[in-house]
Amino acid sequence: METLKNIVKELRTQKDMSQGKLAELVGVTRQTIISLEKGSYVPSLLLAMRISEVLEVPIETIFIKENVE
Amino acid sequence: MKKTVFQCFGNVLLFTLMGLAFMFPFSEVTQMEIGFQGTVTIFPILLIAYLIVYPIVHYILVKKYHWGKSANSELAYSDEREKIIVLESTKVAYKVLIGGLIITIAAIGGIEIISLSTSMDISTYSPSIALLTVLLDIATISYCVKWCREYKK
Repeated sequence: METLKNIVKELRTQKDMSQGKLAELVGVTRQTIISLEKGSYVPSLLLAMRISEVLEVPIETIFIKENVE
Repeated sequence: MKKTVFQCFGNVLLFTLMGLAFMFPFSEVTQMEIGFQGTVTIFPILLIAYLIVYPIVHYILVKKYHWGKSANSELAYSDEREKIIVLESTKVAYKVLIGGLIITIAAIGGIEIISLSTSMDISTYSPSIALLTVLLDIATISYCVKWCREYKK
């Protein structure tokens, strides 16, 4: 099964940004950011692009497709 | 999650009170030549009291916890994950409601057939109201449980 892993938490903490602040900047709730960082929620392309813009990191660096057995 | 739980609990209470108010609106009913005479039970009064109190409590909680639609908090309708959660929960509640309605119709039909075949005068009014009330409550609880489970993921 394919899944989408991400390094949002690492990049966010590097930027010293809170989950609430990131949520506000990308236009979602804090709970969505929590879920996304845990890997239990796969974001839409639009949200992924917004996160990429805010964190100033290419989208393919943040989100990595993985195969899980 | 608090908002959804509060709203679902409020709806369950409303449906239950409505059901009770419609099932037992009067006591000591006496049939008269024109109309009837009876004493209003506690349930319609409780329903009216609830309809007055609930919006006030809701308004206070909206202000206290910033439950506004545009707020960056729970039930922000622009949030894509919440849209999915609402979709999943609605699907569950819909299934429960449709399944329950089929059972309810069958049950009412069954009561009618028993009434006809035994020549007993069985009223279908109260059982119908009771079944619909229970169904609405179960559908609302199903929605709430699914919503909370999805939200916690």
